[in-house]
Amino acid sequence: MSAPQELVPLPGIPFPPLAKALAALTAVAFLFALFRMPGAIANGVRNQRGSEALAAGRFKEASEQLGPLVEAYPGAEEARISLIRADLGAGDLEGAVHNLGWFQGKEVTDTQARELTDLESEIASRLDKVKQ
Amino acid sequence: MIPGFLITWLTFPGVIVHELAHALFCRLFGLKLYRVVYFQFSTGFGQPAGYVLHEPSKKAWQDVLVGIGPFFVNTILGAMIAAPAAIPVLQFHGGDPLDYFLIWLGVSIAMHSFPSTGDASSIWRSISAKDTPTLTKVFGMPVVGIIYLGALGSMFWLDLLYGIAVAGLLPSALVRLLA
Repeated sequence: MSAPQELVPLPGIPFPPLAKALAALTAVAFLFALFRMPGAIANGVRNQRGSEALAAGRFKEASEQLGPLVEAYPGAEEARISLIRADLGAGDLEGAVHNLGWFQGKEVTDTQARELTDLESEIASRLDKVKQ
Repeated sequence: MIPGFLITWLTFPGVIVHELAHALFCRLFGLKLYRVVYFQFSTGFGQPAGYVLHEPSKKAWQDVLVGIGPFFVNTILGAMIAAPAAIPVLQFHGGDPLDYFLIWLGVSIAMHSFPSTGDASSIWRSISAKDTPTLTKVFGMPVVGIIYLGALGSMFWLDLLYGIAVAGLLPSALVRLLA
């Protein structure tokens, strides 16, 4: 907005306490975001590549992509379920058991519960074969 | 239906950044500031949530940039703040409460990117002056039109949709591009 002539010019940009506090908060959030940006993008890329590799049946590659992702974001449940699938496909039973164990005592959605039950059966059957 | 002023209150950081961007552009061009209201609890139609009173520039293009400055500042800042939080939350559901806070802050800032109709009138006054160069008029007039379209769209939550798109879709697109 342009000003009427009788107004007195301000010496600079005024910063009342609320604006100062919010500017400081925004600056901190911006720096924090900059600090986290490379990791977040790298893990987003891992998620994308891991999902594509899993869908294409390249299990080892999927496991290599999704492993560091669930390490960085332990709460990424969908990615962890995909990782169990990738581990199973790549023949890494130990990894699959470890990641399945992570869900013990955790609340999951009905869909995830069904997927986990299927994976648990698959792991159990593979372990039986190994024992025989 | 949620009243628009309530959304403005809930996203107040964006209003403050918007006004600060106007003020910064004024200082950048050496224009005198008379009043900066970063945020006010307005509820009425046509009452701005914040505003900046400044002297008009002798160069119309500077007035155009003062008017549209928040579009660039709010968009870039909102995207940068929300991106590292939106990627884990939207792509692999691995976010924590801090991520949700950053997404709120990013969306709030990005959704207040649109210049207001007050900004449009100020730009219009400047570019419609007789001594304004034709080139500035050619570039400035569509800008005013777009601002009014944006203001019209805001009645249908276009500003909120824009904020969500900047905070959520941009990072997803970036990840797809890099993968």
